Amino acid sequence: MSISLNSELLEACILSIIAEEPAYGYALTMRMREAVQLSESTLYPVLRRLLQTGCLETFDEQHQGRNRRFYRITETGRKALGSYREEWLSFRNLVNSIMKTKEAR
Amino acid sequence: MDRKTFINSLKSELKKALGRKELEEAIMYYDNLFDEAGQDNEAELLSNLGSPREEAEKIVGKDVMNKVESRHYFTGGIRRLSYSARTNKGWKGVVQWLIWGLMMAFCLYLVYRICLMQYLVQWKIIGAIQPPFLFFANWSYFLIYAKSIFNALVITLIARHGGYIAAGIFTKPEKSRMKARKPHVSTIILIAVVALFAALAFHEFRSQEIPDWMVDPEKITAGMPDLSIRNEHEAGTKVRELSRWLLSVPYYYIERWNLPRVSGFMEKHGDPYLFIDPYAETFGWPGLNRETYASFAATHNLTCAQAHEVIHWARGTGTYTKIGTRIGMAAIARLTWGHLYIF
Repeated sequence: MSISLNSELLEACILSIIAEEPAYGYALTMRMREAVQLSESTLYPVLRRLLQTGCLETFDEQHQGRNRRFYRITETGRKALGSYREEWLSFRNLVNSIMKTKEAR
Repeated sequence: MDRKTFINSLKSELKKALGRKELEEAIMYYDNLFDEAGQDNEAELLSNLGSPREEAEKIVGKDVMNKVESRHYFTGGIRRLSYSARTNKGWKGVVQWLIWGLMMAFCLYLVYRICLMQYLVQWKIIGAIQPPFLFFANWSYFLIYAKSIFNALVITLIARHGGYIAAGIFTKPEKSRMKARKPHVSTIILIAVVALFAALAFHEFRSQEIPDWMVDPEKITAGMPDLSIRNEHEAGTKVRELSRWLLSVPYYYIERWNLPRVSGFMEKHGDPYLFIDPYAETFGWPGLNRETYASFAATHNLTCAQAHEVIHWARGTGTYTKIGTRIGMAAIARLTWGHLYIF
């Protein structure tokens, strides 16, 4: 797909995935790759920002004798996700109206 | 590059900008990526990822990385080269380590000559000081200081820019990154100043008329003035002649023949004064106590009174503590008694 996501949209998507259940970095990348092309390391800066703003927190789990770092959403993260979703809806409608897609008619 | 090298390099890049906790966090993320991908997919994962530097820039931002790197302005190039040598295996790495070693040795040598040697002379641990790159022996004292600045610029040029260039020899990503980088203003100024100094040195060297006898060391005595004199009046003339001659000798020959570096000549109250380069050798110069007078006198076959007279006279020139080589000293000594010649 030629359309790429900006950092805010990536943040919103990550929060949305993690809101369902905690996830680790590699799994998040695989999940995101269903929608956009990104390299394995693209998400780390996004996760780092979300950790710094307190939207996410980490915990480790043992997996086949090694540590796997999981990310889970915090209360702040849920609030941020809520506002992201609202913004996304209005943004999507605006874009649809410009693009004159079916949904906008 | 394998996983271990990638992680280590990433760690050393991130270390510049991140605290311990954040660094561990980031490294764990990448470690997890390699774990999840498995050994079979390691090469593919590495090809998907950028260079450690690019990954570090992604995490903390390109501006931040450039900013923190500028903190290591003088050592940045050397650091980059040692990193490149570590990541290049085989003969390429060995060549880069060799270049690194040569550069380090040369820079340390310059630091020693410029900063340390002066103190070693002052503390009487060693007895001479001859700074390198003294192109401007016959110019004013100002150029002695200018030369120090020039030397510092040379060190910077070698340590920073030389390091970056050598690092880029065998490492493609490094090389392309270097090409992409706009030249820093300081780099342009640095190169301009060094080029100016080099041009001045070249001009000075070219503009000096070098007589034939100077080119052949065996003929040196032919061009040297006859310095044997019979009376006080002749002594003054001979000192003038000697000064003119010493001032006309290009630095290369001064160094080669171990002549005193004369930086000036003047007459005051009818007396000739010969100014010896304060950085000239200080071998054998006696101190100001009775024992050293005696030792100086014995070495030069003088009485203590004569030795005292020499020193007293030399003090009047303002160069008594830094007086030049044996030739200069002898010239001054003999002038005092009306017999000026070089020995």
